[in-house]
Formats: sequence, C-alpha cells, structure tokens
Amino acid sequence: MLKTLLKKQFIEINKGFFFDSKKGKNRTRKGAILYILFYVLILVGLLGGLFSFLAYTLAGPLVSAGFGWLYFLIMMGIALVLGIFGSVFTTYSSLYLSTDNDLLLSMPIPIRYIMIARLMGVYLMDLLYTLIVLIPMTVMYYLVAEINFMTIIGPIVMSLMITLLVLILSTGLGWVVARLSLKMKNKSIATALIALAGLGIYYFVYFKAVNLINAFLANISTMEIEIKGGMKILYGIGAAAAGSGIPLLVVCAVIIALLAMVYIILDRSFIRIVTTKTGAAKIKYREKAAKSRSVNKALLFKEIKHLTSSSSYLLNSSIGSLLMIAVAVFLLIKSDTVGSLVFDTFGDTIVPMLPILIAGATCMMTSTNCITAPAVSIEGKDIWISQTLPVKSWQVLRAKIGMHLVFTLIPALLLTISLMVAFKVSLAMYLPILIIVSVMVLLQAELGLFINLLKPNLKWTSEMVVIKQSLSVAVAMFSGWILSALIIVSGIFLNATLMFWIWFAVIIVLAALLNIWLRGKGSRIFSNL
Amino acid sequence: MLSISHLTKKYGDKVAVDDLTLTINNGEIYGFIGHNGAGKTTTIKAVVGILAFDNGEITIDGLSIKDQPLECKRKIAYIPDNPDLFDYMSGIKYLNFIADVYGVSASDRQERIRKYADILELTEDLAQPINAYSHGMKQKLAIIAAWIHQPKLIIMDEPFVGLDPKASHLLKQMMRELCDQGGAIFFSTHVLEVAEKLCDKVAIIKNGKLIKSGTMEEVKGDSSLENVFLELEEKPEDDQSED
Repeated sequence: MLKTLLKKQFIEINKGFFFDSKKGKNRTRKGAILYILFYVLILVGLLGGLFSFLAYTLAGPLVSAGFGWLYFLIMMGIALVLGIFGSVFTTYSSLYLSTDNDLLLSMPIPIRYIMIARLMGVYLMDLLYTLIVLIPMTVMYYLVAEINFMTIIGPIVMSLMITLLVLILSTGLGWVVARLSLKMKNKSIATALIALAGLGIYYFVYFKAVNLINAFLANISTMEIEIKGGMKILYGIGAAAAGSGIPLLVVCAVIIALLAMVYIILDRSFIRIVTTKTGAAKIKYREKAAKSRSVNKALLFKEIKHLTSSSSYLLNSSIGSLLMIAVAVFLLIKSDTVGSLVFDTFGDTIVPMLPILIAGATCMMTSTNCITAPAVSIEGKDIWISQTLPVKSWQVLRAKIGMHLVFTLIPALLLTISLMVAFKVSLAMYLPILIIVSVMVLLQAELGLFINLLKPNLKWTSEMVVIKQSLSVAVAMFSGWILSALIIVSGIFLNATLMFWIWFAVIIVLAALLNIWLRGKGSRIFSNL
Repeated sequence: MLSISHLTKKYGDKVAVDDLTLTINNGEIYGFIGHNGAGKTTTIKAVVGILAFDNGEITIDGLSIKDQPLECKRKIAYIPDNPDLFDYMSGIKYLNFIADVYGVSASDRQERIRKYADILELTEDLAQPINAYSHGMKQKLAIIAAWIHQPKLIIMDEPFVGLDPKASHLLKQMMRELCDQGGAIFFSTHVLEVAEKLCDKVAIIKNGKLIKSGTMEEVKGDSSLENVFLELEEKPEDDQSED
C-alpha cells in the first residue's frame, strides 16, 4: 500500500519524465531513463560542478592543515541553507493541501501512509537541493583525506543526517504554519508571513554560526586556536563528519530524536489539519459601480491575483524581490561603509569592473524570482478559460511576462541604483547598467515561459509540484544563475569594459529571439495545450 | 450559426471524430448525445477552438474557427463539463474579468450580472471566493459568465450536471429565451428526457460517427428518444451508415 502511494507521489512529481505531453502518451521505459539521465547530467554537471569546485578548493588546504571538521562545517552549512531554501516554503502545501486528500482519505489506506508518502515528496526535494553539495563534499574529502573506516562512514552518515535535519526544519515549520493558518482568515498572507518569519529564525541561527566560524578563523591567523562556547557544538558537528566516533553518535542520536519527535507531532495532527475546513466568515455581496478595464489590464490583473492569492506561489517564485529590497535598503543606509570596504580591499583595480559586476550580481538575485517558469502549468484545469477567450495566446503569455516584470523589475532597479550609489559608479554608466538589468529581467521572464511551454504540466494534485518541484523552475533558476555567474566571471578575468558591452548585446539579442519564439511557436503551443 | 463540415479528429491512430457534419441554425437548441467516449467533448472542444482538428471545417456565423478564431470566440460562449474556474478570484471578480475581456461596458455588465445572478440565486455569494463554491454554484457562475456578453451561440458540455432542479429549470428557460432572441445553443447531455423536451434538433454520435440527426420528430418519430438511442447503440455500425 505504502509502496503504491510512494510510486504515485514519485510519478506525480516526475510526470514530465514519464509522459510525453506532445504525443499524449507515456514514454517507453528506455525513453524515460534516457530523459532522466539527460536532465540529471545537466543539473549535476552544472551545479554539481560549481560545488565540486568549491569543495576542491576548500578540501585540500583545510584537511591537510587538520581542519577537516571546518571543511565539513562550511560545506554542510551551505547544504543546509540550500536545502531549507529549497523545501521550507513547499512543505505546508505539499503535506496538507493536495487536491486528492479527500479521495485518498476515503480509501482504505492507513492515514499514516498518506502522510509518509507526502513526507517523502518533501524529502525528495530536500535531497535534490542538499545532495548537489553533499556529494561533492564527500567525494573531495575521500580524495584528500587519510582513508579509514571512520573517515569513510563519517561523511556518508552526516550527509544523511543533514538531509534529515532539513526535513525536520521544513516539516516543523510546515506544521507551525498549518496550525496557525487554521485560525486565520487571510490564509495566503498569513502563511507567507509565518513562513518568512520561520525562515528568518533559521537564517538568524545560521548567521550566528557563520559569525562563530569567522571569529574562529580570525584566531587561526593569530595562532590562538581555542574552541569554546557555541563553537564547541559546531566543532562537534564538523568532527562527526570527519569521522570522530562519539560526536557522530551524539549528532545522530539528536537528529533521530528530533525526527521522531516531529514525526509523532505530525502523525497526531495530520488528519485534523487536512480535514479541518475553517473557512472565513461569509462575505455578503454588495453591488458597487462596475468599472471596466482594457483586455490587457484584465489579463495582467488575473495573473497578479493568481500570484498573490497563493502563499506558495508568492513565496517560492518571488522571494528574490524581498531579498533585493532588503539588500537595496541596507546598501542605501550603509553605502559609505560598504563602498569603503570594497575599495579598501580591492583598490582602484575594481573600478573598471564595477558596471559588469553590478549587472551580474543584480542578475544573480533576479534569477531567484521564477514567476513565469510555473505560470503556464499553474493554470492547471482552468486553462480552458484562457484558451476560449477572444484573445491571442500571445496576449495571455505577455500578461505572464508583465507579472514577472511588475514583481521583479522595480526591486531590481532599486537594487541596481543602490549598488551604483554605494560603489560610486560613473554617472555615464547608470543608464547602460539599468538597461542591461532591465533586459535581463525580461530575458528571465521569457526564459521561464519558454521552458514551461516546452515542459508543461497541467495535471497536478498539489500546486507545489509545478511551483517548486518542476523541471521548468529548476532549469529557469539555474540557467539564470549560470548566466549571471558567467557575466561576473568574464568581468573579473577578461576585459571588464569590453565584456560589459558584449553581454549588453548578447542579452538584448537573446531576449529578442525568445520574444519572437513566444509570439510564434510558443503561442501556438499554448493554444494547443 | 454553426456549421461543422466533415470534421475529423484523430488521437494518434484512434479516430475520435470521423467525418462529422452538422448545421445549427439561429433559434435552435441542438442536443448532442452519445455514449461515453463517443466523441462529443472532442467535437465541442474543436468547435470552441481549443482543440486542433485534422480535417474538415467549422464555421461560426460564417467565420472559420481555424482562420478567424478570435472573431469566432467573440460570438460564442462555452461551458465545459467541469466548471473549473479561477478559484483564486471571487465570483464577482471573475465575472468582471470575463466582461473586461469581452469588452462589456460597465453599465451593461452590472445590469446583466444583477439579472442572471438574481435568476440563479447567486447574488449573495458573488463576493465569496470561488474555492468556497459548491459544484453547483460554480456551474451557475459559469452560466452567468457565458451569458454576460450576450453571445450568439452558446456551447455547453453536460450543462445540467451539478445543478439543483430549480437551477436546471431556470437554465432551460434561459436557453429558450436566448434562442427566441435569435441565438443558438449546442449542448451535449446524457439526460435524454431533458434533450427530448428541450431540443429542437438532436444529433446522435457513436464511436465518432454521426449516426442520426434532425428535428426531434425526425429522430424519434413515435418512439421516445431513449428507445431510439438504445436501439441505435445496439445496432452494428455497418447498418447505421444510411441514417
């Protein structure tokens, strides 16, 4: 029974791999395997490569200097941040809001099995994000460390523990959100705020740990190494991964105990949360003078309404906006300090690089917003409405791009301006930088739509499947990051001024090409979905 | 008003609709009946322009759905078999959205929303989010949305499913009123009693092929529509080509 549920959950998340939407039938086993391998190669090759490089850079010096535990601490910290970011906003809806809850609960299936199947869906996402860091971490350690039983077992067991810790933290927060949202009227906003507060607490703890590590590293340089206070706990965690027996046992015991506790809490409350329909008080309609809008405004309104009505969609797809505003405000307040810090560190050599670095850094942050990547799939069963309206498919797609621009462009421009002010960029470069950032935001919106049109999934039972667990979103986000990274790297290692103008042209050309595709073939695909 | 000529639609090797020809004139309520999987929904989706077809021609008020889809869509309204609407909107916001897209003026939409929501007893619930609606309420909202721009042709797939008896009765009245004003209705149903009482003309489809069509009297004669339908369903396909 549980196996069947898990299979259903797995197929739902990975439907795109097994079902050919163009041909309207399942892929052959061989076809599905090849398709999965292709995407695994892309994702692992690109992101895995990035973290492999980081692990390679850190492992050698730290392990040979006897700081293997510190190497693990840094890498596991990255995995934890990435894992929480990847799964924390999805857990609430993945666990409790699936549309097939009623159907499954009416069947002779133990409720616990339904919950476990849902938990496995969350865990799968957690694995996707954490293993990208944990696998290179382990492999690089094996290459440089002295190999014995404990140094082999330590990283593997601790990798498993980190994935479980991410599951504990995200499901714990999901449970808190669920309990509180039962009592709230405006669920989407309340859920968003609670989830953000939870994330804030997690990152507060994480940055405290980073501060401790930084303080420790400062002491290393003065050869005054002393492990005390909170650093002892961090040392223990790192040492466990490096193969120290007792810390490993303690960490495992703590995490397994926490997991058991979270499981018991979820088990006891699952059915009540899933079946409680609190609903808001009935709002009685009072007629008001109607106002008419243009077709394009109406379509844009519809898209924005969809985004803001779903806390999952809003949080997962536009978290970058919040981050950009936060960084922009911080920079505007601390512009002198940040500017001086950078110029004191790098001197005048950084001046010619600033335009391209600012553009690349802003693009990196805007890539976190993946609003259009699930925008077609999320229409789900409602898509017939857009298809039967007397509007061109391109108008519907343009409204989705418009929504991305509304939520991303303003924070992106604000961030760009604050960066240019903080780093005293030449006024002559203000306009080109603002243009490159604007076009990049447009390109990201078009790219998300392009990928989603190629890999749509309109038959889902949980919107998280398309918002977070879809290939479209992963590919769109990672493509944005990789492009931004290339922009930054080219600015550092090549002629920064020349590269700025090359990227300026490349991004405009790419955005124009995607625009042409969306108006033509993309629109045809949309109308035939 | 609606002309379907030699419509053929295939899914892979399977022929879902096979050389179907039908004409629906102004003022007619046209029923479309057939067993599950006969090809009714496929035909309807092709007519409303959300399913590309392999052969044939569909024209609405003389305009081709293939060549002038937007002009055709402005003249029609569609209610699918399952009223999946924008759950994230309230009923009134959904109606205003539809009215905006069809270019219905503020005063006209207000008057029509008032009229049809009152008829279908949905007025009080218009401010509620659609995700709080029952199936029947969603169906009523879809009906109001279909009528809001006063289309010339309304195409409905199983429109009576989920409606309570009173709402069903009111819908039938609205359908007749629209046709009396020169519009036309094309709808599929499994409720043969409804089709028999309501429709001016009827078409029976089996395995994608039209096996009988015409006025109600021509199709059923002295028998009941149910008897005719069951007889035709049992007949081998080869014997039905002349019908």
